[in-house]
Amino acid sequence: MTDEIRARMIEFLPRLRRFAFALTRNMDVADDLVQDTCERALTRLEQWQPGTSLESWMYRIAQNIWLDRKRSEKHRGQAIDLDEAPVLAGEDGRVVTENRLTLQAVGDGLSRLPADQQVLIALVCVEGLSYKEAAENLGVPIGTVMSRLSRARQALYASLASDAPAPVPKNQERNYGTRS
Amino acid sequence: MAHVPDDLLMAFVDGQLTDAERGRLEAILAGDPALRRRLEPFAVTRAALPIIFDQPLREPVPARLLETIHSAGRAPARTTSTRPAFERNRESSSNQANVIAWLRDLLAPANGGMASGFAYAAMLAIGAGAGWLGATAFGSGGLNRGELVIFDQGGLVAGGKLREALTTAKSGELISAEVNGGKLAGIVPVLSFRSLDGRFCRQYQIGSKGGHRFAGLACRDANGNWNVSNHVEATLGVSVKADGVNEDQQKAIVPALEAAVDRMIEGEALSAEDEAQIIKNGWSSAGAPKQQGQ
Repeated sequence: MTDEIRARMIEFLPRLRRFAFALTRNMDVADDLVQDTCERALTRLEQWQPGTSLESWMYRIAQNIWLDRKRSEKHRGQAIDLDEAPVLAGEDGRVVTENRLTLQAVGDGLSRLPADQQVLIALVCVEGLSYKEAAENLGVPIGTVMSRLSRARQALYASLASDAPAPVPKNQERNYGTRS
Repeated sequence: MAHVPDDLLMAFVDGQLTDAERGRLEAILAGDPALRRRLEPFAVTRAALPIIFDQPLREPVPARLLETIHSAGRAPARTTSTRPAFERNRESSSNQANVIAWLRDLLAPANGGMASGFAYAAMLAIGAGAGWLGATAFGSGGLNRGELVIFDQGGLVAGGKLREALTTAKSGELISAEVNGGKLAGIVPVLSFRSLDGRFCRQYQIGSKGGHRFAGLACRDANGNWNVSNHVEATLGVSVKADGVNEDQQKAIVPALEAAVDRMIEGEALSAEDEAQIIKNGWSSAGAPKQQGQ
């Protein structure tokens, strides 16, 4: 039984890593989160209800660990170093509507959103969960998911679409001048 | 003009409206360019984000995560691992089962997961401009192993890029291959060793864009062909053989494969230096650091 569950977890790992990457924007940090998630899941396997989605349960574990960390970081006043994030796009022609749609720009935009909205975007836009699944994961009504998510996506889009840097004082040393 | 809330526009883009709702909204959108512009924030975030964050789908899962899943929550001591590796005969029937499962999979193309399917759909959407409106249901094909592992004289041998990777790449080196009509796969030799019957053998992993992963084992014959003795979808091997994992393994790949390596290996795996030298020599035994026992 647990071997079958382990096999399903392994099958799920690429997507869990992508979810963690969307939250952390740093692959090493993401893998730490995935590792903690798998350890917690396997040591608390009795808390998973067979018949329910193992994947949803693991997304929930990952998001809760991450949200806890964000909260404690805030108390310690620690900032995430986005400059360490690898730039994946922007040099290989993977450009959508304008040249700011890169990992770094998206990461900047996401980091200005509240943590729970970042989770929503990662669950729905990156991982493709339905609003209903996301609502169950976060324990909020579906209407709340939709209104928060639509606001979050509009805010993210606005920060991506604006050519001028958003008036956020931190990270001002980053080079925003890479326009065409 | 009808007021259309943002939530509804977002649900339209995300494909989460009922048919009736979608029909009504499409009729309104058709006559309202300003309303169509309001779709853009949702369409862009929907299409771009899976691609921005798709690095984990393009690379193999780190061994440490596989190791965590193999070992977390497990009782540490196990008697099976103290038995000599060559006594684990029961492995062979399971390996057979894995190959059969793989053949079955080869005949019936696997469906990609929903998320990977969408990522691909989104990529298509970006290529096609406004095509995202049509990008809903999508089934990405499985990795076409036929191009990498081929039938030859009643056996399985490495073909194409897998043959190239096994012949020329050092362990840990990634060779990318286009398979199945442009789909990207990565091949990584994991380990090289000399077998008890005197052949050079290599363990490898293949990951395709859709997240399918395969692991296998191939030994080189006198004609320079790599005979594939094992080729399993990673999860299959784990589900069958997870109870046979040896705790002190450094590399956690697929336990069934590790067991096969244990059975076949003579001594230790080749060091990086020896492997590099042997690759340079074209896998001929001449100049190899150690005489093989026939």
